[in-house]
Amino acid sequence: MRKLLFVSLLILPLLFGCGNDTSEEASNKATEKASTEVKVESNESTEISFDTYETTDELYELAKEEGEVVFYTATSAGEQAGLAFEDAYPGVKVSVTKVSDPQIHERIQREHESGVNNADVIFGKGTNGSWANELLTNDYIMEYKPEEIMKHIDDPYKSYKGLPVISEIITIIYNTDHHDEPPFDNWWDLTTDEWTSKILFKDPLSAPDIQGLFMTMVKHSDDMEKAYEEKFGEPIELDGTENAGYEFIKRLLDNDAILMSSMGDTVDAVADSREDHSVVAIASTTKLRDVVQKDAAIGINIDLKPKVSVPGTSKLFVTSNVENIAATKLFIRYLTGGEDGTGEGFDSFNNPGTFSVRNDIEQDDLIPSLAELNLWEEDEQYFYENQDEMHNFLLKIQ
Amino acid sequence: MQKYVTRFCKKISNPMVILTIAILAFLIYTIILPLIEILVTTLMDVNGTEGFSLEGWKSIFASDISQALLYSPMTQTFQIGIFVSIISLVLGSLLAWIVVRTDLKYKKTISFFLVLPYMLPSWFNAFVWLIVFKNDRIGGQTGLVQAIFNISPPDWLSYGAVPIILSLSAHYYIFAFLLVGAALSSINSDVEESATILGAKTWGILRKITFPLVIPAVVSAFILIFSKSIGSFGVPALLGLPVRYYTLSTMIYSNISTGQQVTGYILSLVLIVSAIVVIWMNQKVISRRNYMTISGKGSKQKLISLGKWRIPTTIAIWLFIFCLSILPVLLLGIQTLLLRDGVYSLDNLTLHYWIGQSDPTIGNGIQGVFRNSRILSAFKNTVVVSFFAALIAAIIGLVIGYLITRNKEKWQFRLMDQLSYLPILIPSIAFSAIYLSMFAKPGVFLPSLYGTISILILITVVSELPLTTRTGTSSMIQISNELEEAGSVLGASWITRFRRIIMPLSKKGLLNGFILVFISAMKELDLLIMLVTPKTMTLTTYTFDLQEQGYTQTANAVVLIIVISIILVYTLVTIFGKIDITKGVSK
Repeated sequence: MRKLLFVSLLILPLLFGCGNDTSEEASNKATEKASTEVKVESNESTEISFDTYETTDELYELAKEEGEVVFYTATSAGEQAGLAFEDAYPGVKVSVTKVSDPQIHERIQREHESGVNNADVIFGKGTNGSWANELLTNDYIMEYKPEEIMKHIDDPYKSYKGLPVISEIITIIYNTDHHDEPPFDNWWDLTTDEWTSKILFKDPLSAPDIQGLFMTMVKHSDDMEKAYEEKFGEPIELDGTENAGYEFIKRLLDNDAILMSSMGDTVDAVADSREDHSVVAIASTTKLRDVVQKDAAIGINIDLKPKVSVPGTSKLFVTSNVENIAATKLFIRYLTGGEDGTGEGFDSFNNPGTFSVRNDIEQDDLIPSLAELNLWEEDEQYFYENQDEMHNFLLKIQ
Repeated sequence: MQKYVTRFCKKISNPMVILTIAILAFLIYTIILPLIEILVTTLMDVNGTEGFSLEGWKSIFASDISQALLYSPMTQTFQIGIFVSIISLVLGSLLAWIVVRTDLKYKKTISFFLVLPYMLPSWFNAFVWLIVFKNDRIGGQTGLVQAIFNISPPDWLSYGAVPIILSLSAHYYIFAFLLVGAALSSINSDVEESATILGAKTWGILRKITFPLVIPAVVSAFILIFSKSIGSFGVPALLGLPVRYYTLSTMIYSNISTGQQVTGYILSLVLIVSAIVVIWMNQKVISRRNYMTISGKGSKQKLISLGKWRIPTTIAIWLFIFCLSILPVLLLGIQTLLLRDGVYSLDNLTLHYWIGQSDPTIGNGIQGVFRNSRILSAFKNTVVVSFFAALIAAIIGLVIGYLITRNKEKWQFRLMDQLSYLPILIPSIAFSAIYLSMFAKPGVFLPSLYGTISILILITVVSELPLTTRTGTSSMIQISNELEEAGSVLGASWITRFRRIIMPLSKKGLLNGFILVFISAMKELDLLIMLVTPKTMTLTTYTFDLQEQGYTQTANAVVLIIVISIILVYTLVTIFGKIDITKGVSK
């Protein structure tokens, strides 16, 4: 019998022993949070909410008394900015997790269902409208759009769900060592023999942002149709697809486009390709930071027809259970560049190819600003409603 | 009435019964419940419908996207599974036979190196394949073959089925090598000698005696290899995508990662069901025979002389070892010293990624790994997770192995066998998604485990059960019942018998299970990536982050740290613990 006890003791730690430190941790957090609440209640005159305004110094003082801000970000620049926060405001703690857009969605949903409200702030592109349509409408997350930041944001970004911070665009990236001029000026160029087996991009089935670009082309199929005529001098003949947008995607993939598992790898491949086999990638402009950081020979064509691309805007949301309101507000103000747009929190984002949504932040002039680029408008709602159809289309033509 | 109560009490106080109930409860809670949850998710509120609906299943099995979504990836998955199994079994068994049964020299060293590929993450072979055979299809630097011979390898050699199958075989042959090797070394060569005396030829002995005796090991190995390879994600993702070669696992991943959970789960269930069919066939084969080879009598083996084959065999084996064990680690090491990735020249060498201070002009200002404090905390987490997971999984595996082998006929134990085997077939990515949902909330027995190390340990234990149950079973299957019966006759209780007879005889199996899990937990990525938080970050998940952000050298340096730690642990246990995962093979 004693032996049996021994065996069950060995199994037990799994069930209970490991659980112990969890509950301890949880109760620690609970007391932590409870004490914050008490403080806020007992001090009603300075009660803080997402609707009040405080100066940065006031927020800092309040935040020092609060617990940790938990931040989920889908961009690595967001991760760096998050990590830099603790140096900028000693005494205020932040915990940063970098996970993909759909995983943030998944986690928030799970956390809400389980009552373990870990996250305070989330930052990402919102998986083609699913954050806004599922997390926001179910009140798992909330919008926090402080006036002091919003007044520097123009239309259409102003009306987006969430607090927009940066945009990136998915367009054609080429090797600037091999070509003095961009070797293409129209999206339809990629469907010609010249580019057969020379176009790389992340597998669109697992890349919501590339699907976003494709859906925009479908939505603006009239633009795509005109661009085709401009390029080839004759009207397009559809080969079993619905419109010129779908037709482009089909012909692009039929041109032996090469799919990879990581977007970063596609851009690296362009930078490293040989002159006698110069490839292009359809990828995010954020990788243009390599031009300054790694001296990479990559560039984009800002005169691409019919449009360069569509912006993919990363937005901040807060969850519906934020306890450390002052710290959260301070953190968001820091990330967005502070009240006057000169805050160092934005430094991590300030790279070529990452575009500030705020109109008062000075950026490198390597690429024109968001307002100057010839872009389609981002339509999250359209993405949300059409993503299943795009997904099925991509499967069918595979 | 009184009689039934007494009988019931007697039954309940029987340690075997309690153990059986405890194990079954554990398996149902950690495996069946999650599967039911997956199933429910695929049937309720699918695609905007309310309540029960078969919409999700219909769109996958019978719609215009079924071919792309299910049938073609499934065919390719099976293609991979079958070929990898065949190649790995032939290769692994052949190597095992040479090492165990011939008079080859330096067996210990050879065994050590033959097992080394197992210590590298499974996707690592795909990396090396690309370094060597990459043609210019995907741009970037071309591979060594093209650089040296100036011939562009054809696409079929660079990407798709062929390299996937070879890369996976180069990793999974080790299962066959270890399992078949252990079985071979426990065969008493008296049997073979008698056959020789009776005039049988070497080939005849192999076919009629040796082969039938190692069949259970071969079947175990086949199951492990087949299911691991059909569930693997990293290799087909790296080598299949460029030519649009999808497998079920890459399809599952791309669906789950774009929020198409239901599709991903249904495909996971398809994988699991295929696996059940495989187990069922396995049980048909294994339960028909009796395979006790340790009978308490001494076993000695006479080695077969290689004769004129000694030199070619030795050269072939060392060449094999060089390509699979030494070259990859070497390439990895060199890669971490390159200031600019892919530029192989002397003035491009640097130690910056190991010991460098933050320098904004290199790699976005990332510090060398030895200065990076996150590495230390990730290292600590990795060791904690691996150690506890290995300990728990090895013990549970041995107990299950014991129960199963002693009660082969009863349905509860067949169920136990099948249940403990299931986790291997749940693709990691689906597994962690389900665990995230199941254990993120306070459950019947457990508080919420989200954000703790415990959930990482739990999922590792459950996912490694198939392996430890196999090692447990194969060490138990060889301990003849006679020994226990003898104990029983002498009046020893079950506890005494287990402690004095079973435990000492299966110590090797227990420690082997521990080491195998420890190693595999140290390099686990897919399973943990969704469950870690910054506090519980492990080395592999940190590597993944680094890789994603383009810090290739730093990422590889961390991989090298993982590999070296594993080799270190392995060497230490071999020397001080007096155990050796290749012991069955290289004694």
